[in-house]
Amino acid sequence: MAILDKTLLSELGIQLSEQDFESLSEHFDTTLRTRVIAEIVEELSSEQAVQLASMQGAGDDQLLAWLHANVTDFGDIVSDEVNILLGELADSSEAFNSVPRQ
Amino acid sequence: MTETINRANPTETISPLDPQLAGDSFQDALFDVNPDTLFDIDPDTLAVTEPVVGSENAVNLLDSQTEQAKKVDAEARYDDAMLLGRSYRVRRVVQEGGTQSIKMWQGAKAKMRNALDMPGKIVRQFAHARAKTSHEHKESRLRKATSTRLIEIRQISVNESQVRLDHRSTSLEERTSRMEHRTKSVHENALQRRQSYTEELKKRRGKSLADKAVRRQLRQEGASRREVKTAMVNLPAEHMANVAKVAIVAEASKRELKAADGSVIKKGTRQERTERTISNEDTRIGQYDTRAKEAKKNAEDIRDRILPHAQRSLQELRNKLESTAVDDPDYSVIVESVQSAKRVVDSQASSLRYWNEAEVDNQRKESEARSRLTDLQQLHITQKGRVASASEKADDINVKHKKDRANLNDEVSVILNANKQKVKK
Repeated sequence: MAILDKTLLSELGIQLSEQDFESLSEHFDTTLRTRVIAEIVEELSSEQAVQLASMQGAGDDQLLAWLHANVTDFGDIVSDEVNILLGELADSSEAFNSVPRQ
Repeated sequence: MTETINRANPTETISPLDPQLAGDSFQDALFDVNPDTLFDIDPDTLAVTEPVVGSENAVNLLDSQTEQAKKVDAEARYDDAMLLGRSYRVRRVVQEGGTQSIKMWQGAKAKMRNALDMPGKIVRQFAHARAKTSHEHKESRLRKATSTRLIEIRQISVNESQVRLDHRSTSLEERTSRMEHRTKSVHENALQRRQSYTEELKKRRGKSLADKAVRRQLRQEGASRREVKTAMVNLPAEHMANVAKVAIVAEASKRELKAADGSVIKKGTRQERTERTISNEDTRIGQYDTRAKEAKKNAEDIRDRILPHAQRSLQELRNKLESTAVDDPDYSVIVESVQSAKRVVDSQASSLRYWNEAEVDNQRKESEARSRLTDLQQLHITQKGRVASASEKADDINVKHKKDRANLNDEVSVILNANKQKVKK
């Protein structure tokens, strides 16, 4: 599930080569995952945390189902973190666009 | 040329060249003789707040999808809309009416209109050039006139041509600036849209940070998830905007702190690496020193004791050989002993050379290592200073961040308590 795409970047006035876009996209996804996980962990009780830890080998669908069942504002957490990260990207884009390029 | 019957008054015929026949078709508009009304700018295409194509449809689609999704089996529920939540709306809007596509569309329209304006511009350029030439010609004729009456007449003519020239200049200027303004507006509109989109993303970020802070505070107070969800509804927008502002500052200082801590760790690692290198270099200096001394001792031993002894033995054997007759049965034995003694002397001489070289080499290496050690020690002092100043900076940022977090908690408390009071009322 790629949230960051070239259309969004072009909306912010950022044009990147394929290689740069790949590495930015990877960094974006990693950061988003880390933040979402940190927020989810704060939400969980100790029993739930143990339960989640025991699901290490579980598939994505199973994990997602568990999260939706046990973290009721999972959608809000994800959307908030996405908004925060996109906002930071927007901030950076202003700095990026203000630098004169050759 | 055929004539058309006027339906309003059937007895009257209308020539095809009659303006009454000018309709609303594109062809008719193209051949309209009035250049001022022909290529009017459509203000809607240059409006700043041009609606994004398909955005309403996207929102409606999302709502219907969300409703539909709730009824579907759990396994099929988790599509992009559910996973991304509110952000999905932004993505759909961006995809359906992107800034670039609108810019391309507006650019194409502007180019087409400018292309239609170009013949008029060329006509005006010619007219302006002609008016200018005529005016200059009339002015030169005025200068040549001598009699008062002739001057008066020619002055009138010059004044008229000046008026005509001014009119042509204005007309040309209007047409040119209209065309330039179209092209410029496309670019400015795109920048404006980009700016709006950036502001939109920043606004959403502020709101999300505020929501996150309020949620966190409620959880810390021990609110259940249902209570948190209920409490988040209908919080006053103005207060939430304040929370958002403070939350953005707190988030910025948090990132700054993380970067500062990272810098301290990195600098600390470099300092430790330098310390290890200094320790290794010290050890190496000791080893070179030991080897140099050993080599010197060996060389002295060979030079002062072993080699002279071997040379004396060789000389004795040579003397003995000289005093022995060739037919003596021991002659060959003595010859062999002399050769053996010669080999020993050569070997010892070679060992002496080796130990001398070894001593010089180890001394050189020791000297180089000492020089490196001095540089490393200087570097270590510098690095220590850098670590200290980075730690100090991190401490300052930590204090700032704690203050920002405290401000955020205060703002959130204000909003929650205000809400509480409203509920009590």
